[in-house]
Amino acid sequence: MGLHEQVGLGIAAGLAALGIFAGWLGAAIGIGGGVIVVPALVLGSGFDTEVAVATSLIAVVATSAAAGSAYAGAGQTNLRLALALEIATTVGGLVGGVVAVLIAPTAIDAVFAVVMLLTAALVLRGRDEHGSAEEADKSEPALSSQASLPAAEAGGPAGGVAQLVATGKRVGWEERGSLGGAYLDQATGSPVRYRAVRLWIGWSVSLLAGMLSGLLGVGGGFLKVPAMHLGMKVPIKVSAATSNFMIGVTAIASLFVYFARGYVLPLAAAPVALGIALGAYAGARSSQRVSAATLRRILAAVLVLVAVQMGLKAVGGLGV
Amino acid sequence: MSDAGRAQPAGPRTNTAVKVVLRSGLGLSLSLLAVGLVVQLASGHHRADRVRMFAPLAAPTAGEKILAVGTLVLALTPAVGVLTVVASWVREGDRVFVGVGAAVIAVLGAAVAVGALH
Repeated sequence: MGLHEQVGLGIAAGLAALGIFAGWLGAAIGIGGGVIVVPALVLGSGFDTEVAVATSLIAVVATSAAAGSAYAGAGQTNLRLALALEIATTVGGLVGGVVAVLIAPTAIDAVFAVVMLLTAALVLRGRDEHGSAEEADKSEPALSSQASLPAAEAGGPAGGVAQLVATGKRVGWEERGSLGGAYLDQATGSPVRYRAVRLWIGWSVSLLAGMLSGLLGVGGGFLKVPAMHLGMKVPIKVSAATSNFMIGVTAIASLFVYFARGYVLPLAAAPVALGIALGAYAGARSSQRVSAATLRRILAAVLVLVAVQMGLKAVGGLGV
Repeated sequence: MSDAGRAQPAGPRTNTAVKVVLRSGLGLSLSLLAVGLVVQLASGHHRADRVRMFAPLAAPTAGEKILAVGTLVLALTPAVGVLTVVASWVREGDRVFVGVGAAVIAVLGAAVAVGALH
């Protein structure tokens, strides 16, 4: 019997603390907490890998709902772009979920170790997924006025970009029938218009991100955000907001498989989900007080340490 | 409807609807998980049982029933968010993206079917 099958007050508190830490660090650095939750559950609490992945997917959904609702309310989420990419990502998540319950857990451990080392390298490169106003400004020119837009692109009968400025509160807008849109950059007070290009890049990376999500229980935002921002030329703020909505939808594609097959332990998942929601909220508020470089170094150190442990577990499991 | 409401662009209106759906689902599910956790721990039954998606009420104790329903509500929240978006596009008459949304819903349905069939 695994340690996780008996969840008393002490273990529940420990799982909640894990969720808080993963949620805080994940929100502060701009990635989901799955890369921390899964290895902690497998290595620290003796969870079966499939159960740990299912638990992590539940935590990813909680993180996505919390962060995704905030970004959607701010009007920065491009829902057309999100669902266009979700076609590929949910297929990947479904395939990953099916594959994960068919292959040996040691193989998942090995893949996880490799992915975490790559994630650590990406984190140390210093790109902030949530970006800055300066980054957004560099990537996309602000519009000086509505007059610079064709009438149809100025929002049609609904008003569009003109209202971004006129209403103040309405800070996002999508073009009907396309993957473009606009949002009001609060830092500059100017509307930023954009149009997504090279959809094939987004689809390719989203398919991979979905497979990793289903296989490893991670959100995959560390792949989706760069794909949208660098590959599809979508502003970093819109990319991060859109990714936050997407990771929840991606996660349920594989979570449904795990859940239907009985890999979900609600008594163990509940404290993690509650903790990660609390941690994500705290992380979003407190991360300003810690430098991004410090957070990146903490996360990279944790990832490398855990990658080594997961690698050793995989090798041990193979009897090498 | 006020003039301001009539003039509001469809994009932000959809974003607002998604925000409400996600927050409501998250609030309800986390509340159920918190209550279920307290009930379960207070009952002295500390075994974490596996629960299947289609039988949340088959869990052996009251606490685990509440936890299972909370988990199910949380899992369904993003799906309801997608349905909300698609419903908005249906009202807008954006046929291309209604098709896109329908494809995503179909894949999610396939995930449920695959899990159930195994």
